[in-house]
Amino acid sequence: MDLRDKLKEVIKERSLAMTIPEAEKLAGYVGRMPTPLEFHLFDTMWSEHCSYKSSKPVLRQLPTQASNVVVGPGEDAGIVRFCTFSGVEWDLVVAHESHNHPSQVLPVEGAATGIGGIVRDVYCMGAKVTGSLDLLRFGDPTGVSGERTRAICRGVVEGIWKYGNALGVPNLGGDTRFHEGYDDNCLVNVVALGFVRHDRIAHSFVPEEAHTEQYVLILTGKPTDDTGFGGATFASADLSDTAEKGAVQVADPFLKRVLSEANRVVLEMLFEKEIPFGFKDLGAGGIACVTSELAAHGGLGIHVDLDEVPISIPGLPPEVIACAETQERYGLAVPESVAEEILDIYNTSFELPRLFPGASASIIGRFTEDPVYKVVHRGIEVAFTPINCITEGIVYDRESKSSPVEVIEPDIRPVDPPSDLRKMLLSHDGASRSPIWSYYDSEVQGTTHFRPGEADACVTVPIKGCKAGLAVSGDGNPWFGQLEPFLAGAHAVGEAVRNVVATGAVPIAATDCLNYGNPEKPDVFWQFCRGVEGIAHACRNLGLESGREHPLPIVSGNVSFYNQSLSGGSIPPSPIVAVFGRIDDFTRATDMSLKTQGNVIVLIGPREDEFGGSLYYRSCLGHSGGKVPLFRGELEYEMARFVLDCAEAGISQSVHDISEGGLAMAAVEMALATRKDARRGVILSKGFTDPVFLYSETPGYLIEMLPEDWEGISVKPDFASVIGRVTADFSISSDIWKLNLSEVLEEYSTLLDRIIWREELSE
Amino acid sequence: MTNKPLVAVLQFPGSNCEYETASVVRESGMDAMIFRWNQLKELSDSRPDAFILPGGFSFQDRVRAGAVGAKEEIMDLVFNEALSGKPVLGICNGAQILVESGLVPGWENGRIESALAANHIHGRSGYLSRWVFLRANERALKISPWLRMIGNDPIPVPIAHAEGRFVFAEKDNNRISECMALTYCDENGIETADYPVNPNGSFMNLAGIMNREGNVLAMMPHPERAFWMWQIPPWIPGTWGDRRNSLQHDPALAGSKGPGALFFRSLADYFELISREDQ
Amino acid sequence: MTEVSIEVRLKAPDPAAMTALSTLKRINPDTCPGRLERYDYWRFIRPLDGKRTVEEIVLHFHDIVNPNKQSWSFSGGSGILLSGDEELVWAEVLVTDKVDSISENWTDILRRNKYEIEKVMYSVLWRLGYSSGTSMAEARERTLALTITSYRDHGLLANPVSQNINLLDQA
Repeated sequence: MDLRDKLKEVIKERSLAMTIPEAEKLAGYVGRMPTPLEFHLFDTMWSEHCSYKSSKPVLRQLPTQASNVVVGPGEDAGIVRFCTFSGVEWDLVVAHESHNHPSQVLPVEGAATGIGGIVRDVYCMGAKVTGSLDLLRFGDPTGVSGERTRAICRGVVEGIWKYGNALGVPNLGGDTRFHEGYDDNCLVNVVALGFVRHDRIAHSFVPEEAHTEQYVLILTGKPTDDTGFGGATFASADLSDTAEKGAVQVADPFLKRVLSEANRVVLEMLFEKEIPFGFKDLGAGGIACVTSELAAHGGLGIHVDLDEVPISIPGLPPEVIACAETQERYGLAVPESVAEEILDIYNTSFELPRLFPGASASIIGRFTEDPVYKVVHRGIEVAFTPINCITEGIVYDRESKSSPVEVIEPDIRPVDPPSDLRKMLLSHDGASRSPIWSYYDSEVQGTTHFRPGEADACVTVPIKGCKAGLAVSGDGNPWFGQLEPFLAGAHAVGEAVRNVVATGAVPIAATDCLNYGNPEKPDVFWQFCRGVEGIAHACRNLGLESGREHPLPIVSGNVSFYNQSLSGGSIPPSPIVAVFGRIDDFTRATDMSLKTQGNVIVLIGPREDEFGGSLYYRSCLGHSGGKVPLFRGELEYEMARFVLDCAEAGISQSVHDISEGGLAMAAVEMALATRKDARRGVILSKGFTDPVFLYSETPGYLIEMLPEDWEGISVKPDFASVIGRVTADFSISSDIWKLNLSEVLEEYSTLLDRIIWREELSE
Repeated sequence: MTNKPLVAVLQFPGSNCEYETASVVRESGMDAMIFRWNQLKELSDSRPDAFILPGGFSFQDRVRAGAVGAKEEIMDLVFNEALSGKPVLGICNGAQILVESGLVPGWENGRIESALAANHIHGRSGYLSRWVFLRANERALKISPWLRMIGNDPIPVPIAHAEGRFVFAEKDNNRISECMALTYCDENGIETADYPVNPNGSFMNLAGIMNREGNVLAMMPHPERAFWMWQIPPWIPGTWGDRRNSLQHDPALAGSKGPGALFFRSLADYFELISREDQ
Repeated sequence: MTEVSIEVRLKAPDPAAMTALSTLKRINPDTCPGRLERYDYWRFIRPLDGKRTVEEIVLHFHDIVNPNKQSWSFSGGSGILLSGDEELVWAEVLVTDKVDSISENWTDILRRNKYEIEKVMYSVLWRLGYSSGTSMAEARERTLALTITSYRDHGLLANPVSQNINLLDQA
């Protein structure tokens, strides 16, 4: 048998995702038939998930640099400067990932390990994690796969609360959309954020001091098992086979919480003693990836002894020990001279072995000047390869084929506002998300100012004593994606920016997760390319922190391909973007609840006739439309500037952005957010039955102001006009129609609860 | 050497509210130190004046929330200090530990006489986060070091738990009034057993119970999350909502205390009173 | 058939069982079992077609049994889920919340979905395995003592104030 056939056989036998040319490349690196461990290690490193082999050339378009960026994409998380308080410089650390495939198969564990993984990415930069968000896309809960969709939704939310709440990281909401395109492939995107002192950032490579002093690798956390074996390749393959289900990891938030506390003590000790170190979490590829990457990125080699790895299942083969993706583990590169002291913190002070059977910290490797990756198991060499090959990566030029969607508009557009608004409020996408958020702990750590649903973005006050507030929002509209992939990318940035700006915060950074189908299909790859172009275009237009000539930087992100159904249909193109903003004085942050009768409602952003993917078309006309709202970069920028200026001047009483359902829905949502003993409503002063005025989803904002404050604005921009007033009546109306909100409040608030959790499917 | 009273905040494996709890104790003019579950010697050597068991998921609520934590060695010390009259507060998971330790209601010391059972809401199970209103029982206001400043107005605080329903053995139902400390009510102070005013189906709308002497208090809501005015949601009704909203866009919002601060001020006030009596 | 019950266990080691066992070892080293297993236990009362109805429900709702992480069997059957170790003497105790939203909600959901069933009841089943020298009577007595939490240092698995405790008869 020649080498090619042998390689082919191993790939088949071990269900590897790598191609035969890739295996040949690997054999060339090692100069012989690769060992099983080498096969699995490279299979992971060259998976789409780790190597970005299809996406890398496209992603270069994204603006990743700006004056505030400390660490851009490349390490586990991105870092930007946040503020200086009492002489200490604080940086914001952000990470964004997907856990789509695992969540479809095992919703509880998939969603839980999604949070677990993303939070570890932020922890391992040395940061305290102060928030997480979940951006969820489910199928149609009352459609053909409704039964399964509802169970997945329940499971995902359960995974999020069971894991996230126990971690002690406040859940800052996120968004949830329902679209039949996700029937066979839900999306679970997760964002984590945290703060680190600028002089105490931990890096994921062994420091250069390791050239002059012996450094060792400490593995700490859960004992290694086989549960996650193959998870990284799993994340990048079609969801077609049940045999892969064992690949989903089992999460343990309890152990994670204790580990985080122990890590905090260890890192503090290392920084106090000024000992340089490397720190990295174990994710895809387990021990093999963490050891080789820590060494390679520091320009060293490493010798790993698998017999020193604590394992929970006896007799595991070396490739499983090395590549299994057991959760709740970290790797730490430290000088041998302090290793014992560190082991003691984990094993004695925090009693890892007592709290979880088999858990402990151990020395499993030694860094070497020789740039070789060597792994030994029971005295036998099970991997030996030049270390730079492992991290060198691999790139493909995928074919892209333009496949725009044909625009079809409805023939007639009947308008009956009370009935239309009712339909939109009681649609899956329009209904209150509070049934979901009610499971999340959004207030642990005691830093939360605006919880999910109270303002357009969550606002927290993360640094004790400091008035700087953080605002965060994540968005992405699948209905736009389905019709126009470029605009889906642009508006994902646009809407997240608007949400942050609405609270009065200035966007300082963004992250993205790009969820698409199979990149080997040219039309799908085109959707991906267009989405990235859209994001890049919007970011270049919305650098609000340091002026329009500077972009809003994308500092971290993730690409998730192969999101598709059994029949091969792709999900709607789903670029999802999170934007992070800073408000220098959080007491100026503005929520969305209407305050005082008689105040004026100011519309920011002229309405245009562009209804593609709009909630009005979907809910009231049963039509998806064609023409997606344009992204008008300069106008977006100017509107945001104006909203921020109003916030600065302290004249915004409440602010809400215009998105799904248009201006009328925005006004209704501002009324629904009011105190139950001080209900407010809105009376519109024009456009009584004009669908463009009422429901167009052209980006914009509504701002509530005192009439005198509005009058006091000396130069009113063209895009701002008064369109209504706040009333003490819990309704929305014009002089010819009216909807009493008390009639829909209960149904609106409980809709998702009734459909998803109680399975009440009367319709 | 400071002469401020020292409050020990206990960190069990899986606790997750220890830092913010210690922080609000300090903001209330007392000292606070966090002790890990196995720092018995450090804890007893530092002779704390009061103890707080913070919220979280000790031992990940395995077997039953609070059940495993209650059996940790460190609880022996807390148990004895509680019997000697030192103030002990359990918040959320801390309350579950106190119940499983037999410290509350404490009719017979150490006997398990109550349970914090799974929330009982029609059509819903699992975790629930929401803001509720509380009222303190009249006798509790007088005797508990944790409640003396609470006053008669209903106070808004958040809950965040899956097991917060106080239950008792049927034979004990006639003596519940002895241990009643906090009850759920609406923003006008009206109690009803209906969701969401009573958010978990708790017996007699109980949100917190105490031992006979009142020094041990187990409460499900999180006062440390309502310590600052800015932590209160913008939509909270009633007088606290008025106070909060009057500070919209006012720099004073940053330093203004919220209703949860009253619990910690009560304790500080109690220590002041003791030290005055000592002199 | 008036009642059909199923036992559901995690395919991976159950962390709650591990924590419970290590706690029992610490507080009751002398009477503690050598092995402890934990199962979800669902009782289906008056399912129209007996086991067939139950099987249909179980295969339909992955919230009850998620086949990717759990295995299940009808209880009282061959005990295929019980993992090995015939050397041990096993006692079984069922812990049921006196008031239980999970059971109520699932009863509602099943009936709303037109399953012919009176109700469903959820419990936790603990199996305690003692060394071979232990008599059955002693195993049962120890199990009851380890289950009923009466004082801080007595019992762990159930709080009798809110939970019903049933020692199961040996099959």
